[in-house]
Amino acid sequence: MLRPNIMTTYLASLNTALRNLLATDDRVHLWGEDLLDPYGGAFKVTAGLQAAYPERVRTTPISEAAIVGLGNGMALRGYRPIVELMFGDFVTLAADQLINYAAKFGAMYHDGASNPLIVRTPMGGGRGYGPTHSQSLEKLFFGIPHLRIIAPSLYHDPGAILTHLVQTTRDPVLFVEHKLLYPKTIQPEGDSLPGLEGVPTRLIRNYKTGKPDVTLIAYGGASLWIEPLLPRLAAEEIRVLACFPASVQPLPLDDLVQAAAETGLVLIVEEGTRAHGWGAEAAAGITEILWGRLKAPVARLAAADTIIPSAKPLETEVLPSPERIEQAIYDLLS
Amino acid sequence: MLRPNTQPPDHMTTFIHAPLINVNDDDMTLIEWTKPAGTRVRKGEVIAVIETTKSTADLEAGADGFLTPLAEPGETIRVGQVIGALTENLSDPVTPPPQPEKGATHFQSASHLPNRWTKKAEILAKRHGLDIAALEISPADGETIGEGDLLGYLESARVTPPDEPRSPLDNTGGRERVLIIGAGGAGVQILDVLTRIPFQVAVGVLDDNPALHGKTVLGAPVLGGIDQAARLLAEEAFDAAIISIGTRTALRAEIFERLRAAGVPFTNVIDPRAAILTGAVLGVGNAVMPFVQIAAAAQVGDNNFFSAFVDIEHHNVVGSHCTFGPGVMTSGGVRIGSRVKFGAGVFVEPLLSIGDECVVASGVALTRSVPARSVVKAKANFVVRTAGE
Repeated sequence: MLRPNIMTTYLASLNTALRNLLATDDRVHLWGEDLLDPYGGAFKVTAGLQAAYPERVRTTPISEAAIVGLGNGMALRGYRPIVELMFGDFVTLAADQLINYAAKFGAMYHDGASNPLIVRTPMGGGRGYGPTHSQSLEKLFFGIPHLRIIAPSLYHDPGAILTHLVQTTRDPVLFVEHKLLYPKTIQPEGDSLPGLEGVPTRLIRNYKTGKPDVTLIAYGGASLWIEPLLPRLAAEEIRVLACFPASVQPLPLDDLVQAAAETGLVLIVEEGTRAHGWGAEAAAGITEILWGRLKAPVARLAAADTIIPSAKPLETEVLPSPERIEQAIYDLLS
Repeated sequence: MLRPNTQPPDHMTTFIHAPLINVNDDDMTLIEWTKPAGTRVRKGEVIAVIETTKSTADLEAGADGFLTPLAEPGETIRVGQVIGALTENLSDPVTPPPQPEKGATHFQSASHLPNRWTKKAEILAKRHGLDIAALEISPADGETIGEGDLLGYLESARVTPPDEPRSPLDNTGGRERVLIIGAGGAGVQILDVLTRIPFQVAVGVLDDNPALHGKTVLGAPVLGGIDQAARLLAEEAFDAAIISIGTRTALRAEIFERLRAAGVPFTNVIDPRAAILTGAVLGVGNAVMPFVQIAAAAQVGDNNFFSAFVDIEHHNVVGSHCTFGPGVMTSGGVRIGSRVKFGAGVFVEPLLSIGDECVVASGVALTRSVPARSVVKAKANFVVRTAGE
């Protein structure tokens, strides 16, 4: 039996936003594997929607290439398709459609074709799902022009961002939802920076007075490690300015630089692997602008460059953790 | 219908654990107990309703028994948490097993023992070269030494704040950036010593031989002729210079004076394995190679080059611009002028004086003082006497 959820969880925010989009815009369609009620999708983000909008909420065969290709065609023809990939790990199977088609149309065709395709998918580990269901593979698409990657954190309202994207984007969007975020109560109140194209960057401080000691930068699910750390560090009088961009690509560099300049000591946390990662790009961008004003080289914390094991203790070893972030902050300050 | 995780009966009490309803939820809400406390329920009967982020579920009794709820309706419960018990008799006492504290952080902090000092206070102390555990500070709150307590202590104890570290982005990590004058053998020796000194770093070499320009010596670039020093200084490309020329003392002195007149600061480069003993004083621009000893109360001027294993004994006075070959050993109280050049393996008796601009050849064992501008040579292979004559 399903009941409407009284808490505003990440999941509920997305579900409500999708329901409102379907209700207010006939061009919106949802397609993906196992979306049909009563199952409602593997993570239940689309629960209840197929029953309400059976013509526009459709289940698909198990082919990510077909799902995204279908979305491409619909977007070009004026629809507002939102397609779901059950696990982000399988975005590899849709890479050709995303890179060689979705991201190319707008710039390839002189008549300014827009391609407002939204590809939603859960990423990330922490649940013991093993090497091929726990990755943060958005990094495969870093550096692909005209492909936006959006990953709201615990401190964003993911439904509001999704709604904004459906209504405004001209470029395709890979919308990354960390699977550990779904049951969490979102905390979208407080300070924000402008971000990019209406997708804000959130600023969270664990102190009321004084200047911050260190700037933390992270996106998406990495916010889940930082949330329990903030009060812990406040008790140690370590004043943290945590900066959570939701636009992972393009990088809202102005926001990151502004947050970094407040302290001159920056730690970037990401769940993807460290090599050639988001942290490397962000660190380079920050350093180019703040050269000489940083007190130490920008520090990075990321997953180990290996597979993500299924066994919980081993998975914890491979991925970043609150403990490791805490130690990295102490190392940076010392 | 869900069958909860149950433990084997222990004294005929079966604990009721919050079930794992779906793999994406660690927490859930207990909506209600469908049977009042004390009700006798049968295995398989619905006893509670639980809500996860996506659905509600009925919880069945895992055994027959009298129900004792251990969690309140509306409470957030974690997977595996004991939320109730089923006892064989209504009067059986229920002792709930210890449970993790509500709201406790789910991670092990890397921090120190609680309530002695904050990490911030510890880091601030460390930045001032202090170990917080060794400081006697009474915390204002009577419990924990905080940032304010430590800052107050530093002020009252007049601890000088550390220099702001140079931005490490200049690639020297706050180290003194040393420019070496001369790319010859002595330059290589100084560059080698610099590899072992954590607080100095070679940034380049100047040499008047244009064939060397653009090349590197032990990884350090040869940046141009010696006349480039003033320009590099104006560009803040280095912090201090040292001269490596090991043989020509007059040239050594001339370059030193010329660069000093141009405002170039000089530094000493001292191998970590050399020993500078109590009360010994060195000027600037001295290169001190491995295993050199400058003994107690010795005074050394500027711009001298000490090769390996040189021993300048106690109470010696050494002028400036001298060069010492390997293994020069003086006795106590020797006075050495300026621009003196020593070969290898020279021994000097106590209390002697060696005047300015002397040259003392290898192997000399000096037994009397020599005036300025003397050239002292060992009588190599001097035959004192031949047996049988």
